Amino acid sequence: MSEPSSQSGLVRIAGHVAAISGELDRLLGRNPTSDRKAADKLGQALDEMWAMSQLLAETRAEVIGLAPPPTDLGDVLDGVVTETEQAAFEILQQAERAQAAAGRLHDGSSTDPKRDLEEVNDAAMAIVMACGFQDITGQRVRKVLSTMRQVEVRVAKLVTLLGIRPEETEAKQAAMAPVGDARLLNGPSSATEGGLGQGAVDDLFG
Amino acid sequence: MKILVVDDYPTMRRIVRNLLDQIGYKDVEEAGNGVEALEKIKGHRYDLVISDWNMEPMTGLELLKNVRGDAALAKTPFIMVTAESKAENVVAAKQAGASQYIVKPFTAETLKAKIASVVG
Repeated sequence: MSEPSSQSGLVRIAGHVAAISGELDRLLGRNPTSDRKAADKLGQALDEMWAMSQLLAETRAEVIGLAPPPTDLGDVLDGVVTETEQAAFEILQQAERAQAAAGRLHDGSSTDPKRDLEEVNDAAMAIVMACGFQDITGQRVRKVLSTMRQVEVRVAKLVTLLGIRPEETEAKQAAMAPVGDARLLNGPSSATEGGLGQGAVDDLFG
Repeated sequence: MKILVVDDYPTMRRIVRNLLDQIGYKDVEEAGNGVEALEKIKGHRYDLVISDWNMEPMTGLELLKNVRGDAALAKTPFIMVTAESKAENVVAAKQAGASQYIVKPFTAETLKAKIASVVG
């Protein structure tokens, strides 16, 4: 019985099927010899079937590992988007409140300078409190990252199990790559990903 | 000076509006995507368009191409403000006729300097 290896899983399955088919043909009377020989052949066929069954069971186990977790990761990330948006809204609102009070103090239009100073201080405190969103969103993102890493490991094992070669995935990815202006929708890029700072952009823009 | 701020995130529109207000530009309108922006630009005269790139259903690049392709709108100053920071993006925007290119996140000073370089 063979163990899963770097050998292509699909090639292994095809080999098992061909061997089983051949043995069954012989056992079904195409070239019968003796009962003992037939029993040996049947044993080989059963071994092939067992090996194929093992391979399918291993593949199934990996696929089960890829099944969606109880918590929908999309919902978790949606929560992060909502929470960051709410926090940004609150921070902006409080900053504008402070700017308005500071403006009144600055241009001398304040009717209650003490109250306006308190307004600036209260707004600053509200901004500090609103920054607490990072704790919650950080926990949510870490949860998603943990699950994503588990999925990555299982996908890699599945790829190996099925004997998928790197050139096959590269060809598939190339065929699915966006074309035209859509290929320019990269999103934010770090410097290591080729993202430029404002200075480099200005140099390039001329 | 009448300015149109185009971004699919209300928070970003509010940030830009706030910065513009601090710089001294009070006449500011907003649009949430390229389609909405193009309708506004065709209906009103804007002295400057400040647009994000990555939006649906019409991106900032498509909006820019539409503006430059319309003789009546072609001369409208157009600043791209985007997180798309790869050289290929900058080159594509320049070729499409962007007046300036600002990478997010940016400072009030950068926005002020770019507006000054475009509208004087």
